[in-house]
Amino acid sequence: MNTIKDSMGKGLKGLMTQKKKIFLISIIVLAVFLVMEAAGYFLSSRSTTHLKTDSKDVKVNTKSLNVFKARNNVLKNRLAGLSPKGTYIVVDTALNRLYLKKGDKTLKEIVISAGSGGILEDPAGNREWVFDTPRGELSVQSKTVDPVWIKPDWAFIEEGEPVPQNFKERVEEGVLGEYALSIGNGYLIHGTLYTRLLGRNVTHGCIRVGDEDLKAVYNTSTIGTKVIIF
Amino acid sequence: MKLRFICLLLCLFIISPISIAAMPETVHPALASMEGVNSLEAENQLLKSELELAKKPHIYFIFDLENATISLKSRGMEFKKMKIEDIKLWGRPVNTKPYTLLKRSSLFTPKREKIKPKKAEETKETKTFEIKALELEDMPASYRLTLDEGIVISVRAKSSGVFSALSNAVYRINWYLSRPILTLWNSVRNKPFTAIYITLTKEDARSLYWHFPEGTRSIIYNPS
Repeated sequence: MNTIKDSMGKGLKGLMTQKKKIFLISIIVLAVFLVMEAAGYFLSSRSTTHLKTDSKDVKVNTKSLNVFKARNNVLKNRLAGLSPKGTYIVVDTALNRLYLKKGDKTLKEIVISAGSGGILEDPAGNREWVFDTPRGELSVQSKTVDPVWIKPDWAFIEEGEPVPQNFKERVEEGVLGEYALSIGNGYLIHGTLYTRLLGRNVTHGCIRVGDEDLKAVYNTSTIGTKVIIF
Repeated sequence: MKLRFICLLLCLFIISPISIAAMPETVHPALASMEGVNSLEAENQLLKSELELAKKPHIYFIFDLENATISLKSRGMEFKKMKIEDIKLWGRPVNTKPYTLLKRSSLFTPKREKIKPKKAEETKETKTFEIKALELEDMPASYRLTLDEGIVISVRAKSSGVFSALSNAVYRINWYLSRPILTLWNSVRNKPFTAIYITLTKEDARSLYWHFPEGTRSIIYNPS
């Protein structure tokens, strides 16, 4: 009986010391964490004050104010001078919208289809295509009436067809609508047979536009017209 | 005579503080000019940096923390403006100069659809069309943007329910607790560290993720 009590007592003592240990470790961890937090706060506030006092010593008078204003106006004018002259095209690939613009004015808002963002791998080789609409500032490089589609390799691979060696087999008529505007690197602004998909990201990178709207885009733009895509 | 003089002094003593208090608060002209110069200097820095970006045919962003807006721009023209609902800043103040986005990270990164080439029989038989695309709705609304020079922008969507409010609260607590540790860690490594926490509407947060891929340059404007 005594031995049982003894072993129970030892067990309890052991448990207590273990609990104490855990408690002590927790306190130490918490203390270290708090010290680190405090050090972090201190370092952060020090860097803030250090940079804030690092301002230039400027002699202030009305003349210098006017000089600053004049300098800023020069920069503003230089910035304004960079904007496209005449009509330009803006494409929002997230909203699938094309805007015909002149200065700050929007002449027309058009629902389009932009790139799907899909990836196609060539099962036979190391080629890969990413179907994104290119972003940035591009320009209209050529304009075509009744365009024909020269099918690239990916179009055959996607359809599970062999890539033809003969050029004629790549030519497909009537799929790009009545007009096409090339914006470089094989990307076009063209018409579509799938008008119900306008407003969705479904293309292979080109910009699809409905027939009536395409006519307006074609007539408004000239070779060199800026196309800003984001 | 003496009494009159004392009365006059007393009156002056009583009236003068009132009149001083009633006077409109004026700032010393030199101080006002200094503020004006500082604000013009900050604007000058912004314009110079923007001009550097606008000369190139790319899209760029301006995070205007003073006016709580994010502008998507190209060639100096603004094409999209998003309102920042809430801003929190931590660490080293940022300079008004172009920074490059190095990495976008989120818990659920949108994955691009891998197109499987059709088999010959499928081409002839299938007439149904299923849209497999990466669209705006697929973009995350909460993510982190890592810019160069140790700038980290945490973007969160405005709470729109109990779950998102709770999630935002947990994230914010974590943000406040982890910033000092990260400051300390970067300080030990002798690297700069700035953390910016911004809250946008869900649509704007998704839109920012869509339009702001890696490599895009931006300016953070925070003159104060």
